Amino acid sequence: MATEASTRQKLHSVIDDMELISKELIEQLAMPKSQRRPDAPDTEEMMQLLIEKDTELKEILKIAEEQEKVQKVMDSLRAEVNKRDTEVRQLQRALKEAETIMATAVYQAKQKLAAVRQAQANKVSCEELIKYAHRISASNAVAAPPTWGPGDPRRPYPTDLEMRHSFLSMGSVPESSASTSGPGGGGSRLYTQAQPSHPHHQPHPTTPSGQHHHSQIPSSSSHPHHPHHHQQHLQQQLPHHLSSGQANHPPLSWQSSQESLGGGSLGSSHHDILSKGGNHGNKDEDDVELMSSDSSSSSSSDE
Amino acid sequence: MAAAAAASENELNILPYVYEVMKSIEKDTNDVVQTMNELKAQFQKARECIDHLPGTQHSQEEQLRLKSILQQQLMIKTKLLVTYKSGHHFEIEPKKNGDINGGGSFI
Repeated sequence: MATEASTRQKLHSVIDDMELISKELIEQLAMPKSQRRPDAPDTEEMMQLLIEKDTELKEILKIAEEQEKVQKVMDSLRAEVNKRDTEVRQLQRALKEAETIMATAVYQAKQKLAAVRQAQANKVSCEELIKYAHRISASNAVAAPPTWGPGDPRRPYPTDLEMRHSFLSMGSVPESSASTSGPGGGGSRLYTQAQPSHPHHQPHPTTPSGQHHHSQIPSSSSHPHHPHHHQQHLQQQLPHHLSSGQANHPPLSWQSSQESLGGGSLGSSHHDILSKGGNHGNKDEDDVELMSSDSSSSSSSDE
Repeated sequence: MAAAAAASENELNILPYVYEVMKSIEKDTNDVVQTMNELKAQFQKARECIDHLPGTQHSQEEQLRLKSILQQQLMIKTKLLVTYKSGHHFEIEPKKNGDINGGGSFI
């Protein structure tokens, strides 16, 4: 299918024709009559032709005028189409963003649902959690005591001084079952938790040597406010090197104030126990007992 | 004023210049060369003017065809935008025991 020539091409061809005709006409007029060719076209015919070409040019220009108006409409249509394209692209971007967000949300929701199912499958009683929290925070290692302030030497960990006075700095400590075996007899029992003092407390998980303690403890007069087993456990927890009379050991720094401040009736009661315990008359032993008793007292204070 | 109309009155009005040349040849004056040059320049201007006429790069039929294509495009895109902005595209099935996996589908 032959494509029709554009308006521009038509105009160019008409202009070229007019140029040729005008050139021919001017040559004919410029040449003298004697030198003119016989087969040369007539000047009048050429002028007539030139006028026709001019008329044709003007008609094509009218078409060009209409085309110009149509072109303006097309330009506005094209601008509108571009605007719609931009809006579609914006929508596409927003949709993609929404899809990403929703995918993330669905993924996180699935994870949370899995966590909920897991929690429902493995239920833990809140009482147990609270008791455990009390146990691990009783020694003030989780948070400072209420009376602690800047400059207070107490620390939730053993300080240098305490470590130097501990079993670890004294070399290997042989395991001994007898209470009179020597300095290392009670070393392994130093950091075990105390049995609860209060009768209606739940029993602590005792150390392997816990039962062993009860067999060794000599019967001694107990304080009216404390059961016998508690006294025995406290006594057995004291290291023997402390019981041998090394009174130079200072009490653990973070426990000393408990004795002075928070001990109250409990502290005094513990002192009574210690004073009545025959084998242990040391101040350090008192502090150690205080440490272990504090954990039990704090747990007992919850009820 | 339209460019084509202005051109037809100015740059594309060749006949007066041809007439001036013919008159100068007939009177045998010294202006023949000058008028000839003016005629040449006018032809050159006419060609440049034609190249700058808007909308003449296509024929009339071709231009009308392109215009209808643009109108159709605009209509389709406008309809598409209205559909996407206002329509409900997601089918949400009723939840079964709070199961998030039984969700919707995109239309």
